[in-house]
Amino acid sequence: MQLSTSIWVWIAAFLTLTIYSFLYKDNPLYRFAEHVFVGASVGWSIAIVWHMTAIPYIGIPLRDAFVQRNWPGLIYVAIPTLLGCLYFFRFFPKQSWLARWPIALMMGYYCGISISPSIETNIFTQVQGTILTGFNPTSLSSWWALLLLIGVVSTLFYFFFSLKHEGIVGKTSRLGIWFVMIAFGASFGYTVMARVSLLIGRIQFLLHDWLGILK
Amino acid sequence: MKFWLFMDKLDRRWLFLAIGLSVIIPSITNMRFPVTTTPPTLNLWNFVDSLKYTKKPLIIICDYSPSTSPELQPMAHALFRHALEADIPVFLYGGLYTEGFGLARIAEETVLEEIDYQKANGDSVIYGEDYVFLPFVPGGLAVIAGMGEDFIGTFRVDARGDSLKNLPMMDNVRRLEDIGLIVDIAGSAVSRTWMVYAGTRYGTPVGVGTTAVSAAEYYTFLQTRQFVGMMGGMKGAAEYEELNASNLNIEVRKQAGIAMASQNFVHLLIIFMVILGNISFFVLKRNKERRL
Repeated sequence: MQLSTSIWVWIAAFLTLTIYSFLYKDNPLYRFAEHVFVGASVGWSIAIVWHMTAIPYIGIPLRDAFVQRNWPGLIYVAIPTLLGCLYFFRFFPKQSWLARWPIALMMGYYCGISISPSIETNIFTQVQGTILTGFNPTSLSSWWALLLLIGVVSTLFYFFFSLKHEGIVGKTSRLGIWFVMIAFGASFGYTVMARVSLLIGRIQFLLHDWLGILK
Repeated sequence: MKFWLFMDKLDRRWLFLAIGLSVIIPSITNMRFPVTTTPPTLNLWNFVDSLKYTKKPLIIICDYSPSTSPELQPMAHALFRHALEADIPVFLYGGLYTEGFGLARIAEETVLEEIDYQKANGDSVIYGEDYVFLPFVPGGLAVIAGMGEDFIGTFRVDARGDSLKNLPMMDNVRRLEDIGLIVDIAGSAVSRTWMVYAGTRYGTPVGVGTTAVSAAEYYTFLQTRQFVGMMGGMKGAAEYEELNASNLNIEVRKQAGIAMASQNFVHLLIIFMVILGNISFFVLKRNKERRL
């Protein structure tokens, strides 16, 4: 056992234990750690954005353009900066409509850049993946491909509400529910693993980094 | 019946304690379970390893926050270690959000200290030749689009503030198509963003390291090979560590690997509790019906 000599490790260990104290019951120490976490996250983001966005992408270019009397360069930086600042008008109810300008600009940009590759990735290629290009009864992968096809089609039937779910449509959609349930089960199993991993991570920190029990 | 009534009224804090002990006991008793490798992780490892022949760079993106780092940080360490030992030029990048920058920095420091700035073959790790640390650049999707058209112009400088143009690793990198593989390590859907834009739009192969919560969703993209491989949760990280250890003879602390014993014990406990809970539910239901 070798206790850590770093003050930061001790602070982190203290905050970890105070957060876990909530498992027993709510208490002021837990709330203290919760507030520290929120404050630290926001503080970190502000510091990163200030030092890695505002200064290098606005402050320095504006200063350089001004010093060099480079007026086109100044306008090139100033216009998007002013557009970005319009977001802050959301805090003023009467002028809040001004915030719609940068939002509209961003929406237009993102829609333009997203539509084509998103459709190709999420629809065309995925549909292509369900198409059987040949079936070999001796190959296991052919059977998996067939199962996939049945799963996709029956699940789509379950979410097809323009026809009453009875007869062949009803039977297919019921099969679809089975596939959906199996998918939920797999997701749940993975979720349990994820949550346990977070606990293990913290316990490892306490036992390895703080107390030095684990090698 | 007394037992089932007792179970029904059991304070859930006892379950928390049981789960806590299931994590602690296997850890302090140094229990080890064999880690079997699954195809998604093996495919990713093989793809990364193949880059040593083309010398095309790998980008490791730490697109996550501290809340998911227990699962994802070991992935970043294992990938970075693999790239350094296999002589693959590698970019460490904190990703599209601010939180990842600090975690990428931790990955850099941890791995370099672990190997003492020296590869297994005796060569020193040289910044700018073996790896480059990219800075945070605002813009989200626009950053990927920028990298696709003009890689150096998008970042201009590295995380140390030095011009990217002057680094030897940048000699053959002009845009995303010059990159051999992007591995996005993320706890959110941002990996899909890299797949859509870097993968589909610019044709760069994309792999993923993700939390177990997202892993089930990404299997569909593995099937269509839109992700070349995947590390799913802590288990995926443990598999990658195992592949590193067996193929590259790297002897370092297996951060995710040693957690697998605890993971197994907790899973057994939860399975037991789920079965017990269901039996309890039906026994008490039948008992209630009898009384009516």
